[in-house]
Amino acid sequence: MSQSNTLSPCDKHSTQPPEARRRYLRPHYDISQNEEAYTIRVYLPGVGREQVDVQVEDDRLSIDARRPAYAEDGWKARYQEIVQADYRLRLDLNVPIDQERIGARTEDGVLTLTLPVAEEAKPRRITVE
Amino acid sequence: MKLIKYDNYWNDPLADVSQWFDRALGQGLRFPEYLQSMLEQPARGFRLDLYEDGNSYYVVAELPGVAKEDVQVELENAVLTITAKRQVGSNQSASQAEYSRTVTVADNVDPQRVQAQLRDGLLKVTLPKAEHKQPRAITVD
Repeated sequence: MSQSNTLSPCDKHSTQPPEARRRYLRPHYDISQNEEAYTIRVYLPGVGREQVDVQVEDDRLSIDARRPAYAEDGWKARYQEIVQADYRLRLDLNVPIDQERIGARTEDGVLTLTLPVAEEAKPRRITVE
Repeated sequence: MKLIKYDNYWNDPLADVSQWFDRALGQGLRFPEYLQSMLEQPARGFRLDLYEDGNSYYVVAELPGVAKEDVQVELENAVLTITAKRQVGSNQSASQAEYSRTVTVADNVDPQRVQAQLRDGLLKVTLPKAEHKQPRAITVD
């Protein structure tokens, strides 16, 4: 393991930058849809249920997830690929959504949001007389 | 009026790290070998970190959306292999993808006490160091 000693060690004791300059990670996400609802899956590895904050304001969906540091005291980094930053995702909803019935759950580090399409935006069948 | 769906390779949450790192970690990067490995195995991986303290080595891997039953951790000599299976795509067009990473850890790991824990899509493998790595004396007849 001698080579890896030279690979970027992390300094997790360094001072946190002020809020405004803090870096956020934009998580991976995918969207599937049907007539009734949009389903958004946001991949947030290392984030538990308590650390996710979902907000809808007007037409903006905000997802903020705080990722606790998993490295314990005394761990020395030998090799790192995982970026230590909180997740932040902003999505603009250009479809009328029934905001009262938005559902959210987390499982295995994946946040699943269900956004029901508002009644007035559903396709309407017109009876021919 | 459409939410844009990105469903390509680059948006796969687990697929964006190539085996390149494994190569760089294991031995020095030799170019023909790297090309060879690209041909043999398509780049399907996930991010991982490697830590160490006085007692153990720790490997942490990001595996969002992977169930406990679908993770396989194997230690052979000093080589740790993590394999994960994951459903890709929505219900209509679901398929299964397999991801694998290989890390060379030090050879003073006690294989009996290796532990793995998956929580919130983060896999933590603890590889305790062996108490005493006894030097083996070979008698010359």
